[in-house]
Amino acid sequence: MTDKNSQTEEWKENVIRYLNKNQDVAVTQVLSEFDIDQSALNRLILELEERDHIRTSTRKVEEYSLTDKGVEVAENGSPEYRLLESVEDGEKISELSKRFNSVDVGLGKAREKNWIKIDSGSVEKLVEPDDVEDEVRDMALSDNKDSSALIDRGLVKKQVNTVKTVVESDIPDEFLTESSDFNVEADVKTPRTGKKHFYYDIMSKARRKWLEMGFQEMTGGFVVSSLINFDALFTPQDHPAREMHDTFFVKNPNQSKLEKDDDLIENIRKTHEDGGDTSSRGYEYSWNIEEAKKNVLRTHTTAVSAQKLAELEEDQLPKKYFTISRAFRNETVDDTHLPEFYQTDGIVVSKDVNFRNLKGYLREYFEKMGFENIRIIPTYYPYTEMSAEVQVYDENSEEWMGLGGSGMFREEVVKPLLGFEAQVLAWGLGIGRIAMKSAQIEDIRKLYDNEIERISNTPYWRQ
Amino acid sequence: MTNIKINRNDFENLIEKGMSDEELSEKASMLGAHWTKISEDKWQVEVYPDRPDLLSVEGLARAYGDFFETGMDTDIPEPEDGEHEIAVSDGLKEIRPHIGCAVISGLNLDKTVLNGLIQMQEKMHQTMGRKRSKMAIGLHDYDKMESPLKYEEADPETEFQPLGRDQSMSLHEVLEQHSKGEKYGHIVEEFNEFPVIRDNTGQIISFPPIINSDTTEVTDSTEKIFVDVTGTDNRTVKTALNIVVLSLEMRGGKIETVNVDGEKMPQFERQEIEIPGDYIEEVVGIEVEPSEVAKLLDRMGYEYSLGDNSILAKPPPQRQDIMHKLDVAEDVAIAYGYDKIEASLPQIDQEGGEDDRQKLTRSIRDSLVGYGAVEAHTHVLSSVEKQYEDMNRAEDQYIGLENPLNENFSMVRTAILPELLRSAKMNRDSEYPQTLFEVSQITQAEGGQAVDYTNLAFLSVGQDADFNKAKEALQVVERDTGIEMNVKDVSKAGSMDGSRSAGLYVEDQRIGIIGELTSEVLNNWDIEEDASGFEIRINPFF
Repeated sequence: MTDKNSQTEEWKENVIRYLNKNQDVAVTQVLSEFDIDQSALNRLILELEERDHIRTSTRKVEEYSLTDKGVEVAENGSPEYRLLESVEDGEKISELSKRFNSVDVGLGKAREKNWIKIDSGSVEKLVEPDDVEDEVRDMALSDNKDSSALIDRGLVKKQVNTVKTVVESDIPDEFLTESSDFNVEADVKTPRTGKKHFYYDIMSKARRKWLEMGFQEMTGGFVVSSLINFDALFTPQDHPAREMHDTFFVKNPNQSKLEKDDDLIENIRKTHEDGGDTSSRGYEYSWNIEEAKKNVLRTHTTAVSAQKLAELEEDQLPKKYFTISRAFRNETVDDTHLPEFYQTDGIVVSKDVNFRNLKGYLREYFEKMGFENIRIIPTYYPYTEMSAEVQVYDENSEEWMGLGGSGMFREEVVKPLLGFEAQVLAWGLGIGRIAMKSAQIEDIRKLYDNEIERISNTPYWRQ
Repeated sequence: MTNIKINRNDFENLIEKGMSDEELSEKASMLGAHWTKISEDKWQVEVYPDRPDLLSVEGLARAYGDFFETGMDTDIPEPEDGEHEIAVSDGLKEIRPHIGCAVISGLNLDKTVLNGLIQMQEKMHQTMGRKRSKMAIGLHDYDKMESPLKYEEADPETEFQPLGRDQSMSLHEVLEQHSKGEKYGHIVEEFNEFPVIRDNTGQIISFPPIINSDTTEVTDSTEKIFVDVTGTDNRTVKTALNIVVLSLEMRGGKIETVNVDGEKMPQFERQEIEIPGDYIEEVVGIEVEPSEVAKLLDRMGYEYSLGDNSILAKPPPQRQDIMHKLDVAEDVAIAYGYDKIEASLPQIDQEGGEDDRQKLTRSIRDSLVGYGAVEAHTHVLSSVEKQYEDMNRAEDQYIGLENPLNENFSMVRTAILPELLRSAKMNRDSEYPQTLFEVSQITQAEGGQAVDYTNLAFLSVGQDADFNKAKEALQVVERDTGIEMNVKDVSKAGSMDGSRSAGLYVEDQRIGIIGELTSEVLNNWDIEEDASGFEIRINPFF
């Protein structure tokens, strides 16, 4: 085969002229128009595309071609027609099958077409071959093989071919002169590929850190009762966070079934009212079960921790749990606030842990996440004592980022939920800000825009 | 949390020490209030709900004088016996039963101090006072009223001249015509009678929690202040009184007691909480002798008495948040310095374990990324318009929200495909073909409960996005994960073309749908290309 490339570039000029003159030209068309080497043509098309001189589109075309059986039918005729040609009127099927294969198909089809009748094992001819058309053979011979008659009988098979078409061309004269040397230093177009979303990517990696640290995953539903979201976490019933402007209340189902004489609920009631079994004096008010029944979208993943504590038995201790999931707050939407957000909550339940250990876990997690420098500052949550806000130092932006809160659950939380005494280290940390920094986003809403370019161009998180 | 603005020089004068910027923003934050510089002289302090005593520069000074051991006098003096009296009517029991009073004399107020007091009052009202319903503070120029006083109920038609008006009006009219009445009237309007404080001449000097009278207004020439705090919770009222009184004391005021219905106030009696010797080490993890604990408590404004191997801690009277020995331990840790506490990982041998659904989720994600699809991350909160109307889909049992701020986030989604279509809409300027997918949660309302499920949704957009395109992706997932489902031609027209869509089943349970989106639906999403996709519940496969 001669190497057409070593001949003059004249073929390129011809192709370019042809493309500039015509719209919607299939590459196969170009191939047949000019007698050229396919791979050389493909290279040219690619180069033209990279320089944005042409636009192509690719579509899949279904074509049907004959199977071996189909070829046989095309050459010799369909089984039913051949049977018609060969059979004698009144012949016994047993005789017929000795000299004719595919007798079953032939008989079946011929009967279907009312060409023959079968009576006590003999064939009765109803028509003569000249009276009828072998339609199936005609179809097999035709160009349009896309018919159910052929498909159903396995006479044709489907092939999906990719047809590339040059939709538009505007190739300048200089193209040939500038393209004479192949430029190995130029970038080629980075293709579109599959890609994980950077936010989910960071979450998987955060999950891995917790697993490495020996934590077990806990889960819970989006909708929880106020009992779990607030009361069990010793949040007083008149706390501002329980108001409409902070919390989403659910319309339907708008209440959870809570039984007044349920042990857990009794304990929570007593703890709120006068400290109950704890050494606290409580809130010194009258606790209302109706408030606790109200269903909300959980405002923090700490609700999952509360649910987990309610399930734990004393002989299971010590235990470490984590979750990475969504929580919801009724906040005005702006560039740093959205009504839904991810948190990672964790708890360590043990008879033998203290505040130093809380610091230990937080430091370990954040170090694994690539933040060497963390600090904790005293703060306040209704359900923790020894509360601390966690801040990490971001090397890139050179500032401290507040990434959530932590503390030791108060006795007023632990006693009713667990039923026995233990220490519970707990934290609720944000992930959104880490994702925003990784993808270089300033506006939190962009975490949900799913711009394919951004997702594609954001590198996978290295930690 | 609440923010207050203070004057830095004022603060430094009160604590009798100059502070650098760094000390204020870093070290001061280690008490639990967070300091941010606004300008050379103005700083913003973020105060948490458990420390309303820090809602004034005077309160901050008292706390930081101890915390930084500046040497200033932070002792709480014994109040002098004033001969002031206020009688409290039983008729207020159901209305606004609790009241605390005090008199502060010898004051030298100026505009800055007055503004600070007003800021303190307002901030305390909003937080500790639960917008005045639980507690409200009134300050009066003592020299413009006559003792003894009465705290009693009054007819709504009673006349009264509220602050800022030069004419009197009925109490009822105040609720309707005065801005404070409009804002806070709901606290008392249901009652037949309203709470008022009258002085000996019979004039109403206060209509709590709404407004004081114009005649007893405190100005910068006021030398003696009568403080009233009314409310529905006794402890909150008493603590608020102490906070206000001690702020005024810091400005040179002398505290005089008031006989409130037989009880002398203010009361600076301290709680007593016993801290066993090893308790601090047990919960904080630092080794400190009781004598050292005592020094740390001192810096937090406590008094104490040392026992054999314990310490009796007596928290400051202007704080109500110390309910438990763990609260005391926290204060000890704060004084010790959270930054000084060494981190340490305990030995808890437990293997990590993840939820079962993660394993399958991971495989599905790997499979579809390998296929060439881009993963989307979409909102769980949605709207009826996006989930049903724009999808030409019949409404099912969804979780609706009572109080959405924004129509776009007014229900919890029951399908992910609408969100993928929204993403496709956002990507109209990007080149085609585009394939998107997501594995995430949806929620249904079932039998009076909300139940979360995990769905996989896939969408292909472009010229060749037909049924087969969606089917091939589904087959790739089946191939790579081993999950299997049946396709049944039982789909009715909805979001998808009736003849080019199908139901997906596991045994007889319908778990999803696959097919080509109708042009009507695509039109709703402003998508000009063709699109096909599927959405399946993957819970049966966990």
